[in-house]
Amino acid sequence: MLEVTNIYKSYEGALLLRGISFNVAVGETICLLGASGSGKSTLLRIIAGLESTGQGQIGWDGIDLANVPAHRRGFGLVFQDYALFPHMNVFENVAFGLKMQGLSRFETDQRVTSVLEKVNLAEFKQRHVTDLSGGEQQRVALARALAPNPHLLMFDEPLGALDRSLRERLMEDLRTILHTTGVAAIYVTHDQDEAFKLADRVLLLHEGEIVRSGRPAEVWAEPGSVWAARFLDLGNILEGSVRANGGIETMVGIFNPSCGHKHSSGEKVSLLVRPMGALRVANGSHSNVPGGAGQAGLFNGRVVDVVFHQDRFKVQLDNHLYFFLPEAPSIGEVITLQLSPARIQCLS
Amino acid sequence: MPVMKPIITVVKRTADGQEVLRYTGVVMQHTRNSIILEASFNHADVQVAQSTLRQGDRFIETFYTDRWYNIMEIHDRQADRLKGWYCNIGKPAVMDAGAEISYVDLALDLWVAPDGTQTVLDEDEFAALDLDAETRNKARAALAELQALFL
Repeated sequence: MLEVTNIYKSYEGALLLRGISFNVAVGETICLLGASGSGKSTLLRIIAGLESTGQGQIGWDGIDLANVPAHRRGFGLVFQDYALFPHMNVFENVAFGLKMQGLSRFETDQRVTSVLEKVNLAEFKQRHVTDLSGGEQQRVALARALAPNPHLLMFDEPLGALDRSLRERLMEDLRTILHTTGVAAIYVTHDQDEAFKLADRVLLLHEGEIVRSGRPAEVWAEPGSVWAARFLDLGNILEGSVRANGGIETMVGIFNPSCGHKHSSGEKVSLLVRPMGALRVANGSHSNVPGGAGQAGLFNGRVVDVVFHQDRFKVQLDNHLYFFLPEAPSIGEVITLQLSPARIQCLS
Repeated sequence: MPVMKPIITVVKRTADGQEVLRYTGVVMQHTRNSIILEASFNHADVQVAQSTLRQGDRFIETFYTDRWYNIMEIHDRQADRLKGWYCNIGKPAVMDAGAEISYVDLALDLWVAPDGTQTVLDEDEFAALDLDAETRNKARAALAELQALFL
């Protein structure tokens, strides 16, 4: 098991990582999700042993790796730029690390054959890497990283250079490969879609700190902060204040969110209003008067944009909220929506 | 694609544009984004980590037009023994009319011994260069990518 304990790192005077701690179990895929500049790549380099830890410890099964150089850690890395040798064919690229380990020709041959089968490139052994497509090259890079049987595989935005449909396909393949090989993996990305699809556990990195971690469904259900909810694009963020007689008053109406916090009257809170599950009700069933005695969970809005979205429509309202509705309203129409408390969460 | 001449001149420049080295090599392969050539080491002996590079050692050099490093695979001049890889971090190489390839060297180097041991060289010299933040970051990222290539 990889053990990352209390890592701090500064770079040119700025604190880049602040107290990062997490473990990765054998067979587990962790996604480190964060915006660019959040310190993700630096953290990978530190784990790989390519950069020094400022403070803290990288360990494997209880052994401190501080004095173990990068090439002895048994960790593999895959980058966005398929780091392959252009003058070697597929076989030679995949065999490169094995030769350095001093494996015999027979063992090397077996290992390369088996790993190329795993990434569905069994027929590509003799092909030149420069003749391959971006997706194929990335598979070779994966095979190359898998060949020495690493304890841990690390990916730094590996699919960033590929187009969308190819990315989807490779992501599914990668999921299967990671699960069948049972290797521990850390996958760094800024793309929440990739992270949520691949991860057993997601770690949200913000300004050098892990601000939320959990299984994808947990993080999606409870982002834990306004920043996380916005970054994950989970819905509308509404500012409101707690009313004396219950409910939270916002600029569009009164809501009774699901909330485990204890709030005092007048307290400012942020609400996450999920865009799905809104119910359209007959117009006029609600008068939109801020501060008035409107019915909780009901509000009006004028439709400013409607975007087709597979089996539903993304409806943008003039109060800056958006919702997914099964039927498209007309632009300019004033509609009344009802939200169940389960779709509204208090973030503070 | 232009027809390549078999002999090519390599020009190494410092970050401020000064030419510091010029030598020729024989082109072995030319791909979309790289050129591979063979050159003979033409210097007095140089000690790098545990190895000594000697005059006449065979250098198989790969220059990339889209990567921030080049890689020199070094073989002993007599025995066909691999001594290691010497890699220069620098701006992507520029090809000139197929007869000359030049690159701006950013001081930072990586030495990889045949057993995979890595040594980063000249970090102080790199730190002292007057570079903008983007160039510095690209050089650092290139070093990490290069190191990963040899893991």
